[in-house]
Amino acid sequence: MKTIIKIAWRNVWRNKLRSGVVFASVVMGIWAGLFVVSLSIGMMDQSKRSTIETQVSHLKIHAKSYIKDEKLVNNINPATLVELRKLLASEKRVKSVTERTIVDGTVTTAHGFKNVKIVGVDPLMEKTVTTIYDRLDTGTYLNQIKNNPIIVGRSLADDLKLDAGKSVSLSFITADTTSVSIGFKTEGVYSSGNGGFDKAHVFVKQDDLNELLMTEKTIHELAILCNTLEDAGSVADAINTKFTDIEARPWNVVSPELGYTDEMMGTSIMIILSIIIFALTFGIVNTMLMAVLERKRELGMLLCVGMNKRKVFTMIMFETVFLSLAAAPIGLLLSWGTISYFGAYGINLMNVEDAMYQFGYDPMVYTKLDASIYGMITLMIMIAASISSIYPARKALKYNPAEAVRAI
Amino acid sequence: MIVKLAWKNIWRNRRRTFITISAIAFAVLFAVGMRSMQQGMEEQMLESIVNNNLGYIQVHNKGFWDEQILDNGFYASDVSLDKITNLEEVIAVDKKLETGTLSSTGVVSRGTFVMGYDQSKGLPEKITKNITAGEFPEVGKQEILMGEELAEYINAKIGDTIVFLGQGYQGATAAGLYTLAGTIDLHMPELNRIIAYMTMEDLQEYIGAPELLTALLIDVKHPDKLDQTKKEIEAIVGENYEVMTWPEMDPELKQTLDTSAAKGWIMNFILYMIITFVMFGTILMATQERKYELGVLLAIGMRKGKSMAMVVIENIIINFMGVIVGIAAVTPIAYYFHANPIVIQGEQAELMENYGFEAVIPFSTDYMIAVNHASIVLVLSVILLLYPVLSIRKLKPIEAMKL
Repeated sequence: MKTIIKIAWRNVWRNKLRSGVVFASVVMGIWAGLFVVSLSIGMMDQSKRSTIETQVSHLKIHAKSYIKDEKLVNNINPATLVELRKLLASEKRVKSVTERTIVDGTVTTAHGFKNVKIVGVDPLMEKTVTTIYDRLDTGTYLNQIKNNPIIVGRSLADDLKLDAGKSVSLSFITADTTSVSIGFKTEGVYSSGNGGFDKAHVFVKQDDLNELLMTEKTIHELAILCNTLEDAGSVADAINTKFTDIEARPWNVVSPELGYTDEMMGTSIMIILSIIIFALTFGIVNTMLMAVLERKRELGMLLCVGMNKRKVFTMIMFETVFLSLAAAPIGLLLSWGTISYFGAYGINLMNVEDAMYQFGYDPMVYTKLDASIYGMITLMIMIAASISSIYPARKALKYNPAEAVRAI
Repeated sequence: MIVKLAWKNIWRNRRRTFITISAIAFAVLFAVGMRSMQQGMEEQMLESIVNNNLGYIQVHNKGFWDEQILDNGFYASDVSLDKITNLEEVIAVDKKLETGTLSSTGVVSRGTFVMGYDQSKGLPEKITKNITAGEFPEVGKQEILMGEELAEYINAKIGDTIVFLGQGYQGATAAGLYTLAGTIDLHMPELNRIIAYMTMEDLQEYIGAPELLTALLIDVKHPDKLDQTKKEIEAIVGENYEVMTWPEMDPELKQTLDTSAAKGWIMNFILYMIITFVMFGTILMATQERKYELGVLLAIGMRKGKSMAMVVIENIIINFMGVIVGIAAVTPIAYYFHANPIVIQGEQAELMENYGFEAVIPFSTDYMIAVNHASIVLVLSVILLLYPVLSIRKLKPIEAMKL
């Protein structure tokens, strides 16, 4: 056996060109597999991230009655709120919290009206949880205009022909069921990347809103960022076991379609990965078949001088195993390099000059991959490479030694 | 002479020819197969979204899209529907009427978005499949179908009477009493909270404008010829109407599809890197294997140029055969998966269906895919012939003939 391994090892180095082709196939297979998966994960991550950053956060807390019916009076009980704040302040997994007052209302300008959710936020708190402040097309984030500033979404602004500095009228029903209509001044226009959300949500200062609602500080919603996304579920559980009148819901409950994109990606990754592995396997089989054809004389010679067929087979198998073992680290290094590069600088999927995409849409994809997937895919490719040398090796055994040795 | 030699060479070493053909054929198979799948998915996604909600093209009264109110509606009789239906590209024209109103059971009321459906051609599956209780109203029965959460909110049960109150056409007050015939779950809570369906006739009567429509939804044969079809329709309806294509109405959907296509191109690029390599590996080994033979030819006085020409002709013939075999192999596969799409299973399938998608991955049978990608493979395989040409140039007969 030792001799066979030695011969195989020397064969690898003897014909460098042939070895180079198989070696490069495996390197390329590993790279292609890893890169494709990292690209898919990156895309999925990007849409998930922007939805979480702007709309869903890691978890949201509402009064149970509010989840059923988003009415002004279904706010979080003030006593519960005090307890909840204490709990959140002591909870180490929680990174930041924002409190919101939400009321249904109508935005009216000379060009029409739209029904929206009016969200009253504390700008400083809100900045720690959502990135709307960073996604302003024009204007500033509730910190310049003193009296009744408002931030509106791009698609709403387009519909109502709004822009920073223009006035709008907000109407809604207050706590004592009277209807009010009051002027606000547009301070900024945001685009979150989701036109539907932008059309339906406007942001005002919490103090302004509560004053108009003639209520003490009424809180309907808490949005929370945890240290990591994975903490969301356990933090929600911790809150839900402690309180009975409110409910904390993690991102995948608030927005089930985010989980759905995860799954969808999973299937397409598997399909594409199997196509790549299949193509690679085929490539190696083909190259090795040609190689066996080319080595007819050499293999015939070995058979003539008395090497048995099993040993020839083992020898060819070992050659491939050596090559894929050597190729694995190179392939990994190459993949790690490209994935890290595009992870830092991103790949632009869109023609930037296209006017349709200038608002809010992020065409950059950043590749990303877990260490465990690196290992898994590399192993899959190496196994595929080894399996694909079985058929050519078996072909080699069919040679008639006497004829093969005369081959030129 | 050279051509004859090349032809004979092809049949002399059949095993080598066969391996090379299979490399090219597989390259075509993979490239075309993968693109068929991607394009099939894109076509299906577009079709299910566009067909259910939007239509490929909509016709409205001018100004409706910017201000979606009844006063911006139009009368069906003012548009030559027949002319549009008779257009080469048009499959079907559906009428659409929608308006906002207030629905109430007396105690609670809520803003409601009412859609009128023209039932004469049957109801779309998206509605019939998602009805959770009761059924779709029939014409003239003064019945409505409501989103589950809307019905729950205003406290209405099937059979209850509901008051509609709102603005009709041209400032008239609209009011009516309707019976709740059924509830629907569109799997979108936001929509379930406000949506109600009526028959087109009942809704027209409610708003006090028989025959009034807000839009025509047009289904076309070739989604890639939208702009041309749009122009033809514009010529028919004239200046008082706006004709809009789905990318104009839903730029976000366009964005999503374009992103997915861009990703598809990157995947294709990577696949092409692999198949180029497969072809290169095969050609390289094939050249290695016949170095002795080529050495002999050179030694007995064949000029290098001629032997290069011979190898190139030989391989071009083989490449063509490979491409033909590849197309012959991939076409039935694409047709098979077009007719019997890959079915997605489990929780994911359920979720997809909830969102109005069919949980299948069909293949596209667009013959342009085969033409385009087979040509790319052919060009690549011809470029790869540089390798044997260059190695003949460097070939030294004495060394090549040493064993």
